[in-house]
Formats: sequence, structure tokens, C-alpha cells
Amino acid sequence: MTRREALRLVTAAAMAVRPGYGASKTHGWGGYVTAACAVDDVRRLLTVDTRAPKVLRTALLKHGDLARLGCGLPKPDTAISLSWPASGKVTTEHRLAVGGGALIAAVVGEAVAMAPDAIALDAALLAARQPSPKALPKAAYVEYLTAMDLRCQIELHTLDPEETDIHAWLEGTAAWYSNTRAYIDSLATALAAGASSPAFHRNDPLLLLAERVRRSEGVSRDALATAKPTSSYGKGLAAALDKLAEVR
Amino acid sequence: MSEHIAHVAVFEDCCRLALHGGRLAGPFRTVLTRHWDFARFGSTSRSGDRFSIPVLKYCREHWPDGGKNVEEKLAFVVAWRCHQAADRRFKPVYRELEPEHYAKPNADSESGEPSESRVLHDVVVYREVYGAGEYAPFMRGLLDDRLHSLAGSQTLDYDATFAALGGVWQRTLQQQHPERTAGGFAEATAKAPGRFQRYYVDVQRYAEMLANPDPDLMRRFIVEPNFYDRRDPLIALARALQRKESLPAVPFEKAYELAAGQSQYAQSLRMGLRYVFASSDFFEGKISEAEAMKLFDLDRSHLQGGSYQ
Repeated sequence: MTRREALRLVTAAAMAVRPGYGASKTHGWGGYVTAACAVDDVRRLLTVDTRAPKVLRTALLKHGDLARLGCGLPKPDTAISLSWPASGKVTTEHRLAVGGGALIAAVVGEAVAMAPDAIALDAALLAARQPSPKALPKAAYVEYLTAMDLRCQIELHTLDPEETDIHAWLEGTAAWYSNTRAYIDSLATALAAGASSPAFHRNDPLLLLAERVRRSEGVSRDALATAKPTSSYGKGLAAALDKLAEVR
Repeated sequence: MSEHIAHVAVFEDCCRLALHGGRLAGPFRTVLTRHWDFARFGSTSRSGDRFSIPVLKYCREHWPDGGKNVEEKLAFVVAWRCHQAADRRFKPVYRELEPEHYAKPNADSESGEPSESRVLHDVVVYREVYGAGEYAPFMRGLLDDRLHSLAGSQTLDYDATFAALGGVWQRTLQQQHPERTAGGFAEATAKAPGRFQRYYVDVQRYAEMLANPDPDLMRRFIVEPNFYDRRDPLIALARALQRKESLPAVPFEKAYELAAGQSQYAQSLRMGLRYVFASSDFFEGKISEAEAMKLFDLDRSHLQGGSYQ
């Protein structure tokens, strides 16, 4: 298989990994922010829910960037193993972080698969982090997300080309650039329209607990045990916590 | 390595000047007009020395429509050369200015922190070239603490949004390296963490330096080494072209000649222009591959600088 064929397959697989992901009316990346938010919300809840093995919790809590990177991995078709060996500089902890992130994204992805518009859910989850739900004009969101994109680029410093086939990398990067513009535009449209989705509401008790953790407010285990999710997204978070607790 | 905003600025100024200078091949004018925004990524990508000539040859052989994304590739490679000019001019400077930083292990890698001089260069370029956000693409408020002055901050949390959107950018950039996630799930967990694009330049340092520039750092890294002088004719011409103002009296050719002995930024533009014109000449078959390699300084490492004089 050539590298270019592999790139096409990986891209197609990434779009097809989770039902509902890529099903956006407006953009092929619809659901990607949802996956990243789910990983971070579950990581917050893992500071309270101690059922998952400590080494797995530690991996996910220490390596948020790897956990979010895991959203782009192939679908978890085999169980996460605490005894995965290290591979070169990649430690078992690193592997558990990306594997755990992939598992969370897959479980929450299944839970919200029936959402009619993945982009609307992405936008709703971004907007849920501020107490004030008022919407701004689309231009304000385009400006803000574009600034965020530029700050990401500054923090990355430089892109790292794929040297085994520079033409495939250039072609993929050109497509990636177009996708980033379109994704920002779609998110801004959804945010300006009020950022709502039937798969989620901001008063879901599990999300409220995750938000309290994010704001460094105390959350008790009892509060987590009695919190019953009321939205598809919240139920996905609960299911992901259950799945992580099963890892051995 | 030099910094992100400075890299973009060197590319944009070089191409403004090159388009004004009238020596560029027609296809270069076409692609810079159509793909300027995408080309910016060429100015902030590694490996340019290795691939500039192969990609230029590909574009020449496939122009205008014989290959995939041939226009985007040609625009990218022009910016790629400008990246090399900035690196060759500024990398030696950083080591001269902050030897104490570069004595540290990993000082020039993703596992190290960028030096103060690198961050300050970007902040000064943001202020001088982009008018502190008045001129695209680096908008006003970009380097404020957590984007607090942008309206969007009223409804979006900075850290949560950065984590989510930044995470999407990382996973989708990783997809441009299929072998890093190849194989089944378990195999991918062993590959993916080994090499991915980390956010390692703390942009909050930019916010602090912009809001409260340290006078001593300004003296050491900007003023005394003559990093940037808006009076340099090549810089003045670039600013006038960028801002659509009346052009200064010194013509391009004279400004280019004078830049050899002027500020570091003017010298980087001169070097970048030489690379851009050599790219254009090679594309048109006016110079050989060996001549292009020489003009691109491919016989010199970044730390040896360029033959910009």
C-alpha cells in the first residue's frame, strides 16, 4: 500500500469511526470538539470517581494533550491493557493516556450519535463553559476562533512535515487548512444561532459537576454518585467512566 | 529556531517586495495572489532546505495543471524559502545574544522553552509590522492575556476552548502522518504519542512582554543589536506596500542593496528576496540546480548564517 493510499484510508476511517461523527450537515469535522470536550469532562470527573485503576487515571490526568490526541486514533477494537509494554520513548502511561482518550471519545460518540447536527453539539459544549449563555454576532465568534487558531499556531511554532512523501503531506496540509477555515465558520454560525443541541443541556447534573471541578470547586463522591445524567452527552460521560472502571 | 510571527512577517514582506520588484515569474505572481494565506504555513514549516528544489522541480514539470495542488505547492515553497532566510539570519543572533540560554540541554527543541530574545522578536514584529494588530492576519487583541479584549471572550472560556480546538488541530495534523496511527488500536497507542505536534511555546509570555516590555531585554535584544529599524529603506518600502501608502523615495533596487548593512530584519528580507528570486529563476530555467543550491545557501547550516552580504 502506498503512503497516499494509507492517508486516504486513515482519513476515511477517522470519519467512519463513530456513528454520528462526520455526520454534520455543515462540516466533516462535526463532532471533533465534542470528542475533545468529552475527554476533558471525563478527566475532570476522574478526580472524583476513583473506580478506574490508579495508573489509568494518572495517565489521563497527567497527559491531557495525549488523551485528546487519542480521539483521532482507530476505534478501540481491543481492550485497553494496563500491562501494555513501553515502546521506545513511549511509556505505558503515554499509551494509556491516548488509549483512554480514544475509549472516552468512542463511548460518548455512541451516546450522542443520534444528534441531528454534530456541529451544533460542538458549539453547545464550547458555550457551556461560561455562565452567561448570551449569543454574539457570528463575526465575533469568527474573530475569536481565528485568534485561537493563530495562538495555536504560535504555540506549535512550526509544522513538522511528513518527509517520507512530501507531496502527500503538502496535499493533506492544503486540505487541512481549508478544513480549519470551514470548521471555524461552521462553529461560529452555530454559536451565533444560540448553540443548542437536543443531545445536551447545560444543566445536566454530570456536566455541572465536571464544571465545578474545572473551576476548582469541591465535589464529593456522594455528589457524583447521586448525579443522574439527563442528556445523551451526560449519559455518555457516565458510560465512559463505567468503561474506564472496567480496564484491567 | 526563530519565532512564528517573525517567520510569517519575513515571508509576507519578502513577497510584497518581490511582487513590487517586478522580477517574479508569472506563475509565482499567480500563486501568491491566490494562495497567500495557505503559503503562510510554508513560512512556519520545517524541512524547507531539503524539499525546496524537489518541490520546485515538480511544480515546473507539472505547471499549470498537471499535478495535484500544484499552485498551493508553489506558493508554499516560496514561503518555505523565506522561513530558511529568517532561520539563517536569526538563529546565530539568538546564540550571540543569549549564550546562557543555549548552553542548556534541549534549548532549541520542543522539550525546551523558547529564549527571551525569540519571544521578544515576535512581540516587536507584532507591534512594528502588524501595527499591534491593525494589519492582518495578526489581529488586535491577539496577544492580550487570554484574548480578554475580544468580544468572544464574553461567552467562550479561553482555556476550555483552547484545549478543545487545539486538540482538534493536533489530531487532524497527526492524520497527515498516517504511519503514526497506522495499524490497529493497540499498535496506534504505541506510535501516536512518540511524535506529535506539541503546544510548547507559551503565548502568555508574549502577552506579558507586550503589556510590560522589560527595558533591559529591549536594550539587549532589540536596540543594541539593531534588530529592526523602520527607517531602513527596504523595511519602509515593505510597510508602505503593506499599508497601501505612498511609496518612499528610495527605489526597490537601492533599498535592497542598502539592506546588506542595515538592521537584522532588513538583512533577513534581503536574504529572503534572494531566495525568492532564485526560486523564480530556477522555475523558469534561467539558473541551474547547482546555481539554485548555491543561491539557497544549501551548503551552509542555519547556524552558519546565510551569505546575505
